[in-house]
Amino acid sequence: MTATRTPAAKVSEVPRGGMKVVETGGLRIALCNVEGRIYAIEDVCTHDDGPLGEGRLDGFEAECPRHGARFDVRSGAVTRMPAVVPVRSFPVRIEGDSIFVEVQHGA
Amino acid sequence: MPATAMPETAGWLAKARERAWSDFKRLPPPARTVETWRRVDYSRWRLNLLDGQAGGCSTAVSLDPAVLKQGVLLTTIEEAASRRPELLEPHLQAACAGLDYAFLETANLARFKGGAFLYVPKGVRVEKPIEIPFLQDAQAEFSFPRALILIEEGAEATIVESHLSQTAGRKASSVAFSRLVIGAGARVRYFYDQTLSAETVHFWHQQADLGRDALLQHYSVLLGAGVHKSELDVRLSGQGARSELVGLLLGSKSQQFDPHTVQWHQASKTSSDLLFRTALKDRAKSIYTGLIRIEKEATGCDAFQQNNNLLLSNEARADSTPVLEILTNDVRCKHGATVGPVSQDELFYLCSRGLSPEEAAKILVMGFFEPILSKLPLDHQKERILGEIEARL
Amino acid sequence: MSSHSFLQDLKTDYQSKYGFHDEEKYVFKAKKGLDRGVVEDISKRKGEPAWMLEQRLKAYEIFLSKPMPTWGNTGLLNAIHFDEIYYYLKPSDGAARTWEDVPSDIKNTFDKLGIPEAERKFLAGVTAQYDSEAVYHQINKELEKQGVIFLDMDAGLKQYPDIVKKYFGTVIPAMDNKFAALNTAVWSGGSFIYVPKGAKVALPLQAYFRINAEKAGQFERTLIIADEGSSVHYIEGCTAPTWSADALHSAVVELVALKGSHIRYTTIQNWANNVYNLVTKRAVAYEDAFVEWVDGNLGSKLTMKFPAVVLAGKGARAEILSCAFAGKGQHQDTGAKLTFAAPHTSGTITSKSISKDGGRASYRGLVKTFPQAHDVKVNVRCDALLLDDVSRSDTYPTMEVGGDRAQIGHEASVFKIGEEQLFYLQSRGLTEAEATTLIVNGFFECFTKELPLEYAVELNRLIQLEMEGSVG
Repeated sequence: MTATRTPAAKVSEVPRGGMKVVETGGLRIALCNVEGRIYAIEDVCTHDDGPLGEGRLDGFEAECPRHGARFDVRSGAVTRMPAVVPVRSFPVRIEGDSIFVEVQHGA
Repeated sequence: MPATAMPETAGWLAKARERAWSDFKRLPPPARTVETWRRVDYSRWRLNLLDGQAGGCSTAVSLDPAVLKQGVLLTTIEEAASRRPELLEPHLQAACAGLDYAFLETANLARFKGGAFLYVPKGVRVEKPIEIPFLQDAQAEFSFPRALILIEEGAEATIVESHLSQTAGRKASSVAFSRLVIGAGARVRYFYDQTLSAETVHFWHQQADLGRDALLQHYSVLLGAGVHKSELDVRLSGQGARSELVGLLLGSKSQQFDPHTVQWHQASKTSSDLLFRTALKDRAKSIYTGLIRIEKEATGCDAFQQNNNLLLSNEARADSTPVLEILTNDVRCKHGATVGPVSQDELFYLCSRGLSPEEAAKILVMGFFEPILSKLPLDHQKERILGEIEARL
Repeated sequence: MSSHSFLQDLKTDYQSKYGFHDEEKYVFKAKKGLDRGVVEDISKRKGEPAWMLEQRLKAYEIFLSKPMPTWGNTGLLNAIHFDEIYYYLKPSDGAARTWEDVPSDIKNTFDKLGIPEAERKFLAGVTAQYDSEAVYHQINKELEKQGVIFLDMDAGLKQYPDIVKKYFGTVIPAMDNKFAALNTAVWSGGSFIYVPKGAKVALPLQAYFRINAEKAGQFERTLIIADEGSSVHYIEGCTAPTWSADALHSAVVELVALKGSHIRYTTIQNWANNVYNLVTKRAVAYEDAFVEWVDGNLGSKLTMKFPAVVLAGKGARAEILSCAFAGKGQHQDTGAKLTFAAPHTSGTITSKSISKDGGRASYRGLVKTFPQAHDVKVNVRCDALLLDDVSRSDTYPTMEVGGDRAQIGHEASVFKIGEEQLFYLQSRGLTEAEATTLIVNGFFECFTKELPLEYAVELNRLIQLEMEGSVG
């Protein structure tokens, strides 16, 4: 795991009950604020490879706006079709108001 | 951004380029949702940064004196524009690539430097392959290769269009347009290869028109660039015309390829055959799309298309969408696509003969590409291509 | 023997159906077009739980917000007048349609297919009464013994709300596409089937078996759940032409095949040529489950239907067999989708189409394998027969493949009837029409052999009629 040294965003920039898409660690990540806690998933819907961050957050579920696929932002697990494959999720570290996303760099 | 001065050009060409430039500035780029641009992000070509500079690529074209004596003309487009405007004008004025590529075509026409023009007159047969190498300048951010090839009635020629980079390491955008017109009864063997640096994003478009009873044998070798998007648009517009298209693609690391081919049967008794083979390793991705379209008037045609993909790693990905649009029933039309790993049986056999799995896989991939590799006409080209393939495997 | 001898008695007494006790207070006003009020009305009249009304309303908003598809036959699609459609109560309800209203070509086909009079009237929607209640009750007794639930969707929701709530909209959410959203908002009728663990239903369950006000609803919603180790075969539709005054039919079918189960779903669609038939059908196959879609498309002006299977568990299998006949003024836009999300899964797709008299048959397919689905094997075979030079065939297959040892093969061909074949048959004494019909039947054989006998017999007869229409 390579922890990024630059903060991805500020906690205050991610609206409560909403998502903010950032580029960090070479990936597009959707930061999700569920009642003050921040979670990070990759901004790609595994159903059609399009962005997830344009959708909405319903409790712990991120909903893709195009066909309604849903993912649990805590683990990336699929909670509704037409997605069947989980989305990547990443550990998040908060320091003060800064959000750090730990992105694993593959081969 | 070094501003390379625009070279001197004939009046009509200069005007056409000015018009192209204003069109380029004026035209909005296509929506990201159009089918053509769904898979590759065209902002990778950074054309929004294109300004006064000309494209930086050089074409060193030369002909045997004997060939020159036959009346063959091989020169830069700029020079040909002054010498033989009547040959070039109709082809340079008309857009050939359609709306989705208009922003690329206008940029290329406005900013290409040099270009290559080949003209083979009626009935002339040129034995030796004619080389059109496009070498990307080390300093240039943009390069706009442009080729116009006119093969007249009954003529025969072998053409090798190569795209290479001078040095690696520099981010570069390559936007190439190639136009091939084959007259009645003419026979052409055409080779297009690109071994550009990994930092290059490359776009290549070729429209080939075949007249009555013309024959085109076309070979594409796609190895380089970080992102490659191409379209080979073959129009069988003369009765009895025939095209044989063969493609080889090897992807490694995180290369992305989006090759598109078109076999468009507009006239009767035309035939086309396509074999497109890809091998992908690491995280490389290829999205092959191919269209066979047979119009209502094109009766008695044969059209075939085969796309084979070898996946050499778990993260490689091959997409294939071969499309048929058939508007007449007097046809024989077939297509097929396969995706799979190297044959486990063959791998096992080779390993049992003492080869390591990597060596065995390499041999099988070379075998897979053999139909194309065996046809390469020039030694130094073959050497370069084999070298690139070996390095990647 | 006609398959319609199993047709059951349908009661369309509004009081018993909707449970109105005080009819003087309600005036049935048939209303064109769709708004929130219509959606609320539907739910209220059915006496649905609040959560279903909520889903309907959410779906209605989604329907409004989604644009029309930009792919497919957009010319025909954009000719749909959503405001002109009756989404629920229709003016003809209560006032019986007469036999005279039924188009003569439909009547003629019934004649030629040898369908008895009462059935003909039923199929033409002239009457909803048919005397097979006894048969229905008999069959249901058997199912009860096994614990199999087979009801229409409205009754299913009433009697088994927990099961319905658990699965409804999980395979095809309202957001999936515009027409799925429409269906979720205004659905009515359809089948609800639950097969308990290990139960193997011996006889095919047919749509006609269930008691339902409409034999073939406009916005049917079907949900079939096969629990672990169970198996069931469901058949909907019929080969006889189905006349409907409704221009738009938009159904949603969700299949859930739990571990080790087997679901086969057979459809024969023969809507008259005024109908738009836009259907979303999808199955989820879990570990070692096997799902089959057998899909026949003969009628309608435009059909857009791409049965899909998502292979979500190790060892799951799928087979999709699609057959389409596109005649004059018809566009059959059909296909199949297989998505592989688990290892050691496999699937085959076989598509056969015939186009004649200017008809257009398109195949649209998707085979997608995710990297975690290793050792996947898929085979796709599409054959398109063009009977004349004014018809059209398209093939748009997409493959998106990744993952170790995936083996995917696809093959398609387009052709006409060979001169040699015709010549041979004619030299054996057949007329050109008879020879062509024989060849066409042979072409569809892989499909007809999967149908129950009486359907197959009728399908062959129907094809013969179609061919007679074309030659001479």
